[in-house]
Amino acid sequence: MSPLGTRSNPYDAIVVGGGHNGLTCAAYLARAGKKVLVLERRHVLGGAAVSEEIIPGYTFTVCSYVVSLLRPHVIRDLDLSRHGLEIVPLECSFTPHHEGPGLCRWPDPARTRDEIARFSRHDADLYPQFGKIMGRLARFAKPIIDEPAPDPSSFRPSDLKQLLGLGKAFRDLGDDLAALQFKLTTMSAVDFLDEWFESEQLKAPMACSGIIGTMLGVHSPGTAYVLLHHYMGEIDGSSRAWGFAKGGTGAISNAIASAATELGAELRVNSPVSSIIVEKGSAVGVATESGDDLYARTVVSGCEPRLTFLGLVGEQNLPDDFVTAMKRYKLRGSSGKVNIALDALPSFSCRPGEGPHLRGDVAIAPDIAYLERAYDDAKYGDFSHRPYINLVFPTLLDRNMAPPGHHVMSCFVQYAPYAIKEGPEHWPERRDAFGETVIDTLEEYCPDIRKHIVGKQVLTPWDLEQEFGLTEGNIFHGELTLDQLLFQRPTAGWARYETPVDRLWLCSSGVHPGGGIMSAPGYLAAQRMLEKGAV
Amino acid sequence: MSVVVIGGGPDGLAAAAVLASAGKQVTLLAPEDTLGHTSAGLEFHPGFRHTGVFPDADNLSTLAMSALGLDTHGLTRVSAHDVTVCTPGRDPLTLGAPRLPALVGRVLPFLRKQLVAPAPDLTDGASLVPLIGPALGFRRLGAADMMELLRVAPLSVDDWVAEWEDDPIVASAHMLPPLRGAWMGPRAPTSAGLLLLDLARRGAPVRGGPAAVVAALEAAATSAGATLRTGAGVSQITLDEGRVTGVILENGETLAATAVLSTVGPRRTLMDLVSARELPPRTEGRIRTVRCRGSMAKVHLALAAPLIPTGCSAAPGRLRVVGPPTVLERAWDDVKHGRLPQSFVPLDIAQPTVADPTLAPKGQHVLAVTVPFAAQDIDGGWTEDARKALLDEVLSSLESVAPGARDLVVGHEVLTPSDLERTFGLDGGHLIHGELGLDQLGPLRPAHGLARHRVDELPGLWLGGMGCHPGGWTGGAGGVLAARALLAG
Repeated sequence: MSPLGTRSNPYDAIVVGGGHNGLTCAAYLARAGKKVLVLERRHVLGGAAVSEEIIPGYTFTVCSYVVSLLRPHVIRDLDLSRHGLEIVPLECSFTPHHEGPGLCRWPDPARTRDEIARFSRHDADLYPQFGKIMGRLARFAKPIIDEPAPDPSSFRPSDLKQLLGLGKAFRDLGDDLAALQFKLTTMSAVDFLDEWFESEQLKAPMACSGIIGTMLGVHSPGTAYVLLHHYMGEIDGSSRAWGFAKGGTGAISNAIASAATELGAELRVNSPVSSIIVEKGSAVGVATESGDDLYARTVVSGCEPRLTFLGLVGEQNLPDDFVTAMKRYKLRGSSGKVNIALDALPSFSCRPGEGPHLRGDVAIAPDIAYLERAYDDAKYGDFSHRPYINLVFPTLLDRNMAPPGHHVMSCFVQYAPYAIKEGPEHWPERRDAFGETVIDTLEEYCPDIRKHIVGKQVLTPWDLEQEFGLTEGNIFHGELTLDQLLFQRPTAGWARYETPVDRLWLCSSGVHPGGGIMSAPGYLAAQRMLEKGAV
Repeated sequence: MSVVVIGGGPDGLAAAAVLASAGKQVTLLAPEDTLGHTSAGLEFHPGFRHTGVFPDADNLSTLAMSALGLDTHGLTRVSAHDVTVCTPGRDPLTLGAPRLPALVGRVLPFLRKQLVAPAPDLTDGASLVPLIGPALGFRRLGAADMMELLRVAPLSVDDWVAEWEDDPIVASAHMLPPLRGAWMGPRAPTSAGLLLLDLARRGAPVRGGPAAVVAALEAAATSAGATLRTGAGVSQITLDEGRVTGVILENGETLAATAVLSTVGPRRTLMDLVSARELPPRTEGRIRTVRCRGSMAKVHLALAAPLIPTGCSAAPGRLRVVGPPTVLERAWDDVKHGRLPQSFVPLDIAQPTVADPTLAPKGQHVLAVTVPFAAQDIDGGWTEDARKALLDEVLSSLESVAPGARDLVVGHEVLTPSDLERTFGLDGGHLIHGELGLDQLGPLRPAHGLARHRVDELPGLWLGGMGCHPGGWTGGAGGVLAARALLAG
């Protein structure tokens, strides 16, 4: 018998891209007894969920840095704990200020209340109630991320049933909450929070969750919705689904990869795919950059949709309106990443020394106007003069990531628009200036930071595209805006993991339910393929 | 049954006309000395009149027109006027509708239907029934158009218009109208939905502008038997154990009524005219959060000669002065940060004297300038210097497309959002009583639970006007729907 991957003996499925969703999809297909091959372009699996020793002795969680809503059933089904996954909850959300002790939000409500009361007693009183109401809304919205997107245009009984079920769940919220749910999807984060709170110091770090990874500001309509994600995570149980992975986010990919391998999937690194082979409108395999053609009954792309279709499939194999839709698909990366190796923990002047306030995420987001000015810079093609930074110290949870006493610091930085006015290809010339801006910003809060820096890695949106295949540097494989969510992700009519190319499927963050380390698209795509007998 | 209608604008007049026609004993109370509120045509400089602070009359609701038989009261529509688009350093363009995508023509009938029907009632938590009608109408668009509408509505107007208009100047000209009263810039998601709604509202303009609408509505209300009183500001709506008993006027006079229909803005009505003690907490919670940040100013100029931009052969009746979309976005940034305009000010202009020379002395002209991006609260407040600075920026923009414009000005009136608030009692200086945004429209306008014009805990009190469904810029419809709700209730 000819070897696997030839025309006469194809794989059941080839997954293009070994990111966490590609790996998840492969693991589920292998679990169903399918012969699966995963091809990863880089030397390491994980895509944007990777941990790498960039500076000798220091392991960086290179791109993504927190686990957001990793699906509990995926953890269970793939037995990820046995494969080494360990998620540690965030102990605090800390917002340093120039004056006063800053704001810490703790898991303990009473402690958080005291912190908020420093700025506003009114807000401190309302904060728990806000959490309760958001929790109820999250409970309504959460099932949506564990099901294929509803299709409002379909008249098939199963789709109508899903729609009616959603309608009913919506009504079951009660009319006030249903109205609030609608407002949440259309309002700006700031307007939504303004209805509840008065203190800038509380609203600013809360509003940030609405803009992460998107080229919008905290005043832009539609940004309120992402506030819910935080509360969805709490339903899953904060210790399991929301927090840090020990060893960085690469540890998640490694655990999924280990599970996939054990289930029989074949995983290859250093195997860039140059195109998806389409014959008579049907995907039959992939051509690798090394010149091999590998055949499969089904091809699954874990790459971002525009790259998949306009890069790997080719316009000639696609209907015109679909090509138009892919060209319109908004990517617009807006963030960069700066990873810093330190010989000691920096000290925040508003809360000096080490402490539990550093065992969570730290947000440089002193007030709403600061965030909006950061967006203004980006709108006109520059990185923010003073950016929003979300930083974590993974070494406080996993001492093995740096030499004894030393630390790594992972800084997510927004805004760094892909489309700078000089043109995105000029990012390399601005990389140093971008890195310096981040350090300068941090220095305003940790005056001693510069002297502790041993080395750093600066990733601009251009680097995220060139190195990680994230088109335009978009960390979510496409903007998470209403027009690109649910049944419109990546475009109307193709939100159920199938594509206009027969036997080509999508399993990336570019399909429902979108980005973040959820493993949900990978899981849902595999389920759908198995249900439909596509593999 | 005696009904007091508060507010003498088109919505108040329309409500009074509908109620009087149905046999109610109606007294309309207008605080100003003339009827029309912001639609009144007033003399702003000796010998020079505008046709209303309210900028347009091409969105007079077909509902008001047909419900009140306004054509029999002398109102006529004229064919849509050309809009001249000017930008510095380029010949003027004429803005035409034909380049709009085909989708627009196909979905407008559906949207128009929503603008003349009562908002679906979402307060009956147990039932999906109120949503069935709109949902079916929506599905009847067909899968392709329905999905396209769902794609387009949440987009920013900047993204959507760029899909079908290559010329950035024309694109900007399309973006100005939907952003009025929205507290959004062109890059704000959902503003494309507002453009669709704006197109749905727009009909043929009315001869004589907003002032002519007022005249026809006044005739309709009077002939139906309504009593119209001017100079009668209301200071309080009186209640007895939650039930409306009448109003107290600013001069101390009390007026008994079995129902009060207020068109002065839902927020003002409930927060200012109902005493805080009597406002139910649930309603207070709902109305308090209504966003009402004025973002427009109006400047009226008396001109010694017509304004003819460079490259125009005649004086345009309608004119938009714009830059590319980035210029609009920067103008919006100034609003967002609460500062005086720092760069080029886009303008939406009417020169009503082109159609009606009698508004000014012979040979002279009136320019009614809408400044679509002017913050309600600017740093330091709208002082006399700040108002001068705004006027100066407006004149600079005019100069950039019509050199010498500054020298034509013989008189002016500047109405900042703060002036609009003071002069017309507009909450936040907002001309349409509440920001336009997807979360403040339909069943959520003015707020959840209040879209059916009634206030559950305050029987006898009715809310009408632009702060209610069907939203702003719909002359008269908010009054007609409120009056019909009152009659049905």
